[in-house]
Amino acid sequence: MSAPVPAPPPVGGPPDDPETSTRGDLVAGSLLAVLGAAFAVGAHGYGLGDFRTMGAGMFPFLVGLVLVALGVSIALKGARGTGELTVGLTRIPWRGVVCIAGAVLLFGTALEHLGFVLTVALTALVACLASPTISIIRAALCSLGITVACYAVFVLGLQLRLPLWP
Amino acid sequence: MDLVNNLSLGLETALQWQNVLFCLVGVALGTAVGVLPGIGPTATIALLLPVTFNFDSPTSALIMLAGIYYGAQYGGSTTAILINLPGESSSAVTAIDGNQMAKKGQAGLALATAAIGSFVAGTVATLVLAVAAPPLAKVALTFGAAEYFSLVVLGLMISVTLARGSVPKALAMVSLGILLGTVGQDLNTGTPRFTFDVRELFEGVNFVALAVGIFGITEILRNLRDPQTRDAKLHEVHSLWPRGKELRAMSGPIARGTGLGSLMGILPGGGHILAPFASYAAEKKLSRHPEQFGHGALAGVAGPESANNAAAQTSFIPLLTLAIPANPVMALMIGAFIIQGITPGPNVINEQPALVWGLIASMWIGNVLLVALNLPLIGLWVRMLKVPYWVMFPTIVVLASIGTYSVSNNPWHVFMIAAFGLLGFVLVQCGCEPAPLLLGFVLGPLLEENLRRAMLISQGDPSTFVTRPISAGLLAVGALALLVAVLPAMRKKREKVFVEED
Repeated sequence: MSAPVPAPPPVGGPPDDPETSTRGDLVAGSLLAVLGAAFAVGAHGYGLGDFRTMGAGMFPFLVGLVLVALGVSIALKGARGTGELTVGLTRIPWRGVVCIAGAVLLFGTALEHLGFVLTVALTALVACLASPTISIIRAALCSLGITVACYAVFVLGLQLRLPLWP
Repeated sequence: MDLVNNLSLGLETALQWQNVLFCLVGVALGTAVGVLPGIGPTATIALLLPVTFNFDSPTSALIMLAGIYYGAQYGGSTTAILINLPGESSSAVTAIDGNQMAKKGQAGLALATAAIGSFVAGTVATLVLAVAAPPLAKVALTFGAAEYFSLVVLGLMISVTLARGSVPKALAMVSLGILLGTVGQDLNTGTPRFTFDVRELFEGVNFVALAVGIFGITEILRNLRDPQTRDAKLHEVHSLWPRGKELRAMSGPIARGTGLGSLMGILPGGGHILAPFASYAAEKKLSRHPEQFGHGALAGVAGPESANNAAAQTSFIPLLTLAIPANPVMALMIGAFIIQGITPGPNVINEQPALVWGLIASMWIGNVLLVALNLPLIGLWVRMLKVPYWVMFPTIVVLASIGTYSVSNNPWHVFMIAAFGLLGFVLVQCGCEPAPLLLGFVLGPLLEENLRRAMLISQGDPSTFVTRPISAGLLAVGALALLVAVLPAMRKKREKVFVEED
């Protein structure tokens, strides 16, 4: 796909990255438009009021409509191939996405059940595994180090009041 | 003399031993995160924000957080000069000529120039801050709802103008930020909005979670996709101190950079990002040897570094006088004020003089500490560049989770980190900037509140925003900023400016 516009440097990679296309604009534009629409529809239910005494829904409703308009215009440019050249959603680091998001979700779920020490160790271990080249021994050592450091800083140093053990 | 009294009160506060200590901790941490590419002051301050909740004195907390911010500006230039990788976005310009100087064996001179320029600029800008803050706070007290609304619009428009990439995308990110800011209970009517009947969402989207997710986690995911080659050749540092001839050569650019940076830092919406670019362009135009730029021109390091640091200091002016954050870091500082039970705004300077002047004076002390930390200890910071990324990012993930949870012991806030990290990753890969979103989020409630109040006062007549002169003026400047950004000539220039950093 050839784009007639002179290419500004893509945000996600080196300028001559062969992965760049305007498809990113289609993705971002559609996502933003859908989010805007969801906010606008939701806001409509909270009561718009009038311009003198605005209801709870008026402000988010108006901003939601603005976001829909912007999102649609960005997406259209992307579909026509006249948008910005970006790397978009090519070559997603799935392992990283799953491990990092998993680590954070694990922390939120486990802390109140497993306590500080075990939760931090598990979170660090899962996060370590996001790196595609790391060995399991290295990951274990790394998470051990992080756990000890966090214990020293947050429990001994800052005396954060958290449940320590299950 | 008010100024002398104020500054001596400030110095008295800032020189208390625990405040000096926190200032030192702040600038040392700031230098560290500035040196390391991949973690910046925004994420660091967001992480440490909950920790400051446990501090006894709000002054110490704010002094430390401020130190992280301007310390990072120093550290960023070290990485830029030595390995041609800007540690901070604001030091991208320094990398152009600074690294060329390092290649010619002048790494020491480049580092010293950056440090001297930053120190002079920091000192002058601190004085500008001390002189300009009180009268601006007085003006701000006369502002009504319409003026505040227009001022917020102006700030948002400027942040759109300065964002990299296309204008519609930046506008969309601002809008999304504003919408995220409306989640939670509506202050006027008490209606819970977009909470899906989840009690934990009634207090709204957590600011720390949003900032950590969209800056910290997004950055980690992007680095996992495109690992940065950090083993690029480190240039050796020989003689550090410049000679008389070199000092004379850098004095002009430093003076101009300081002036330019001080002015641009005051602009709400992120003038500090533009300041080094503007200074670089100005020096290139004024130079008798413009062909040297890009090949190791001393002025190309001295000017932008000074502009960068001056703008970092003066960006505190809109924060302290208007409670309008000039950039995401200042937005976090507002959070820090609120955590300490202080409502930022024009009244703070009268109600908490020791805090405001102590903070201002601490910035000067911090600049002295930074010169002491950076030049002699340069070897230490360089060694930090050898910490492998596979140790760094799990640490960031764990710190982000602990920090966010401890604000209010709410696991939902931790879940939000993951959600915003993923959303941020998708949007940033598609060319959308996260900074306007965060500013929209912080300023959104202010925008809505003042819009509703102004419309109530004017009986539903929207012309109130253009018939009140101050409000109309602010809106006109905002519209002009946006117009300039979409004009074809300016677009080309923006592209050129951003191309140069690669």
